[in-house]
Amino acid sequence: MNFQQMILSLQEYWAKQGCIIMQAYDSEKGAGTMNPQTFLKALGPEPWKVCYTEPSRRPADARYGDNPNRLYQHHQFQVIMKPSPANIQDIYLKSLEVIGIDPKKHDIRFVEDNWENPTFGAWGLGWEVWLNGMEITQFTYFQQVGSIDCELESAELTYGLERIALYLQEKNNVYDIDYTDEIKYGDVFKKAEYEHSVYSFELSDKDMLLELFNSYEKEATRLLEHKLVMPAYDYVLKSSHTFNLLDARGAIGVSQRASYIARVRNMSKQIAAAYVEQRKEMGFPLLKGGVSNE
Amino acid sequence: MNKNLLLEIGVEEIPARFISKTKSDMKQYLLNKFKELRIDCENITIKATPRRLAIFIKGLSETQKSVEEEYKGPARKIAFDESQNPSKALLGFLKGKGADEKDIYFKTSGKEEYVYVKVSKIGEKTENLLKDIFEGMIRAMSFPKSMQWGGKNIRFVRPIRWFLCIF
Repeated sequence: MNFQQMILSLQEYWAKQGCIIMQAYDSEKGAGTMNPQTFLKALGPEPWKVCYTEPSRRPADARYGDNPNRLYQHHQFQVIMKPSPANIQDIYLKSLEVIGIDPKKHDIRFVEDNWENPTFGAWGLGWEVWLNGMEITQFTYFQQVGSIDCELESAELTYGLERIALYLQEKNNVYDIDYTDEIKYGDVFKKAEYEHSVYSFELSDKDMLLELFNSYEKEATRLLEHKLVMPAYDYVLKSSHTFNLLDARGAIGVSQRASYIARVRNMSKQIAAAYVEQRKEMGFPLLKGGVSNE
Repeated sequence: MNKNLLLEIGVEEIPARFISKTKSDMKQYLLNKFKELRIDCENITIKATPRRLAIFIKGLSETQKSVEEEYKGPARKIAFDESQNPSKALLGFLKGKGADEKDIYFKTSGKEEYVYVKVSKIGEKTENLLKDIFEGMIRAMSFPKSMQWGGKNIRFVRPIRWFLCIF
């Protein structure tokens, strides 16, 4: 099964479980959790089911396209089931079957992992799911997002698509993965991996990035005063990615690091609170009978 | 009569490091609770896998023990009016305890004489108490980090998915 078929199979499977298929969010981010379809929708009492493939950029993980497993950008297949159904573990295990992994024939384990993302004030309890000793999915029951308690908990499933593909296609190098039967993963991404590595580690303009971080923060704060949740959140995503670039470049000292993280967390917290307030004013339209497109 | 009881709690994978403490906390909770509720039991064994906690209670009494409890009421001098009829204070006390005037007696406590009454409590069927006992046990468990799931009003280390109880 090639990479593309894997994504199509997972989408089809989760659509059948009632998820809407969203596209990746068009702003750089480190993980699918930061897509507003997860970060914001996990808040409040409204139910929500969604799945999407998220390109996730982590500048510090860049390796010039030389490392067979580490990438500047990898792909997560993200599922949110809110509230988590009682048989969510079974539903998940069945999803492995559609991509050719028979849980009865492999050693599949749920290994304790208390996921947290301090920059976004988010944490949950759950597991890393291991397939024959390799982590293939992060399975989390959200407890807090944007430093706010989740009123109605979500199950978040994050599949590491490259890892699963390496396993399914019996490849040792991510760039050898068949994206389709004609095109290799490396054909699509290898040059970009190299360029982003050079940029992240050698050529990024620290002063410009520091200035951008401050501007993005200022803009997010200003937009929040006008209660424009989505535009404000876009600037938080930008500031978060800018911080990751600065971090990869070694432009932020250990002591400053914590204060930058706190600044992003503070913004995401205010946005989370503003979003819940906004939904409340709208009467939580996704609770039965509401209208949200007025 | 005494019978054996098996309770199984079906959970999603509990991290191994919490299992030993959970077993001993549950056992201690049940021993204390059975003592408090006057339900005899011979012993309790708890076994666990990552997805299952199995509590085996040997020789659990089918009924609570009946007891007689003594309650102290108002002082004798305010328990009756001038014509020796029961005062409001005494009537209120008797009503509260579900007792009758003919059951009362007097004892000195400190310098005063007081009204006392003995009320017998008939033991309930253990079966009727089990749901509250086990729910109380689960709610009493503590973990370094616990969670809620699926919008339910309960916290535990990982989601509980089923129960089985044989008594």
